[in-house]
Amino acid sequence: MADFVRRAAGGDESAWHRLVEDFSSLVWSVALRQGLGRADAGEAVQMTFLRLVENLGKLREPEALGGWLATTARREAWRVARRGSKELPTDTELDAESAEPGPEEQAVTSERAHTVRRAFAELPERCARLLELVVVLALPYTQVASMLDMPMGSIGPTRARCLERLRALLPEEVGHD
Amino acid sequence: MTDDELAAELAAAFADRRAPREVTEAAKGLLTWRTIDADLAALVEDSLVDEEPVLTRAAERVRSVTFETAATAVVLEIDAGARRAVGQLDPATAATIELAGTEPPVSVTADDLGRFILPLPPAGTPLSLRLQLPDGRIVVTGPLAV
Repeated sequence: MADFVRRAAGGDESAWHRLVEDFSSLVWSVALRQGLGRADAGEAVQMTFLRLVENLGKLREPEALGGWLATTARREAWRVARRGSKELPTDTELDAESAEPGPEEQAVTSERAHTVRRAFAELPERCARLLELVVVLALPYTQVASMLDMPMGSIGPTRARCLERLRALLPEEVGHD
Repeated sequence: MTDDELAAELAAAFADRRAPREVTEAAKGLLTWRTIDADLAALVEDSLVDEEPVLTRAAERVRSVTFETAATAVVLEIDAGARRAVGQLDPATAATIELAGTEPPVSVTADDLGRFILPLPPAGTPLSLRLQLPDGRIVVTGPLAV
């Protein structure tokens, strides 16, 4: 990751594209969790990556890039929300941690996805966090290790253990077919 | 089902938490902000974020932001209601200032004391300035949502 940061800082487009591909979902998910609607979240993502462009040469710990981006995304989402928006819900801060999908998203979510979401919500916090970072947002293991402050070698085994817990929470016909 | 099948199922169930393709593609184009012949002035202060919330509507307040390179600071007082910004360069110097992303191009000049006034771009267009200094240096401020 340090190598991609260094190359992007030197103007290497392909290294930059790789950084954006790896981290855009993390930044997006943070913006949604701050209560932004999709258009505002899209703007917060752009502003966050601009801050990264500004700081590419100054990042002291490229291995902690995920944490840096999450913090920056929260601040940029806050900035977009404070500026005011047509689509900003009134109780943003109350909803900030829930990040439930909007009604229109729920309508198109299949019954099976619903079942998986319900089971996921029952997971212990640490498992939910790890599976979100590793499976849902597909972050590189090095970044997950840094963000969760755990050794990289234990991510694979923890992923397996947490998936096992998730499987146990799913009804027979979904988890065991 | 295997772990990988379950992981795929989980990823599909939370597809809405991943960035839409167009958002990711747009972010890929941002590296060009870092041009070799211009100093990129980074946002270092924004009253909208840094100050304690006060009990007035955000649109009614003047917002103060500061962009800095190692050599030059650009301070903007943004009046979103009046759609204009009053700026100050530090150190004070005359300069030509272009508003990026506007069509037709908008250009203003800073006086010898480094002061300038410029119109804000239409809502939805980020504010970004390109400053041409008398010594030939070019400074670009990172875009700001206004």
